[in-house]
Amino acid sequence: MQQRIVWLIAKRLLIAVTTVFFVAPIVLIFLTSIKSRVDALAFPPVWIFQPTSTNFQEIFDLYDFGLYFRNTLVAASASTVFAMALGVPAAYSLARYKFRGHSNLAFWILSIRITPPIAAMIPVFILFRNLRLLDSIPGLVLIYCTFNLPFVVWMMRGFFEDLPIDLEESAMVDGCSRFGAFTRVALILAAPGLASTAILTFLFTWNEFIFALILTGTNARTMPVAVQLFMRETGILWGHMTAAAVIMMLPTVVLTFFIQRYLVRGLTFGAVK
Amino acid sequence: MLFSDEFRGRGVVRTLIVLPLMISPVVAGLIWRFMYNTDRGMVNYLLYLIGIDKVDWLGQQASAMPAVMVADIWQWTPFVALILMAAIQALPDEPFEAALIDGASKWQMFRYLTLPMIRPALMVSILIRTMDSFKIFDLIYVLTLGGPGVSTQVLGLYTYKWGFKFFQMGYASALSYLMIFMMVIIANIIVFVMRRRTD
Repeated sequence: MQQRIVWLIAKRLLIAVTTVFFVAPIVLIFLTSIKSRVDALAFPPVWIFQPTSTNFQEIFDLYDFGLYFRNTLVAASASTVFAMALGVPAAYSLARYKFRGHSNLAFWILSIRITPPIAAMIPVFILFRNLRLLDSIPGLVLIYCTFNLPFVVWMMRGFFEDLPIDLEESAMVDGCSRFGAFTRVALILAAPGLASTAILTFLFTWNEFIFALILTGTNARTMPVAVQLFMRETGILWGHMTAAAVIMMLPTVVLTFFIQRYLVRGLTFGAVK
Repeated sequence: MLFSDEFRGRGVVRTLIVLPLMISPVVAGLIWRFMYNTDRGMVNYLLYLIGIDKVDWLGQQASAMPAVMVADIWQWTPFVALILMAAIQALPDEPFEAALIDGASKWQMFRYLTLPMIRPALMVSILIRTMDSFKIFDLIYVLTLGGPGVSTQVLGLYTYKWGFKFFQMGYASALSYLMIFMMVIIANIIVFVMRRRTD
């Protein structure tokens, strides 16, 4: 009995320590972002301080952070919408129609997602330069679409395949067209999957760094690129940097709460459900 | 593994440990750069509390790579944990009940029941992680830019430097090809494993 209690306490302790390891850095960044400059530089760190919002105000006043925020938001939402609009019907047809080589096609779609972006970087850069799409939001949306589309197709295909086909069939018996069965039955049944796919796509784009780094200058710069620019040769502006990081983390944290159930599936391309 | 056990508030704890996963690698890099900071970073502060001198974690050849690895582990352990948790929860109860009746110890149950049954999930997570590690770029870009020297230079960063710092597009393209080639090999293994499971 006593042994069991010791074991239980040990287990709880281990859980606590692990949780702290994973959460503490994030909390620290948040704390630093609401510290004044003097408090942020203090060593040993100050734990009790007067919270301030100066850092948050300053990044919007001193830099074009508002623009970068808007850029990221526009690029991420637009590419999500386009990728969903194109990808969902494609996923449905892949899930419901059996044609020659359809599983090969599906894996081929997946391969775009597997390719490291940096490997595709040079041709994309040259292409964009010749099309004069460098440093423009439409350009960013275009490239994000290219990379989000396979993800949407792959995820949604899994969700559609999970739906019982009987419902669609009975809808068609009752006089629905194939397209009607898709829009009125399948789409509605797959709504949770639809939502979580859209959210994941949005988050991936929101966090994307490599393409934004290479394809944007000052006009279309997104937040991930802007955030790391707070590190200068002369030193790091911790207050500003952490404030920007907090703004970037906010939507991810909030949205993660909503899609927890589908997270595993999204991150493993549906290999684990 | 630990977290698949039932305990109070486990929903909250789970959500919390998933957070590093959803954070942008750039932000993760910044977070760890902050943690490793020589003069006021948290890591050195903890060492200072137990009486060890300040260490320049990212500035020394010997410690830069382990430091980068810790940051990467911090970000991606939740991923593996998440997959395995899902796998463990999907396991049927019967074998465990049978084992309990036969008097198996907890360790035996884990070793001879859980482990073999979650092997496919384990495989998938290992393969995906291998693939992703090849892709690592953002984190190192922010943490060390490949330095000091070339101690944390990775293939992606190397390609980037040749292409967009020295503008040697040809050489960088060759590197990209090499990279794609390696990814194709790993990806094929993944596809093979996945297919075997779906068939």
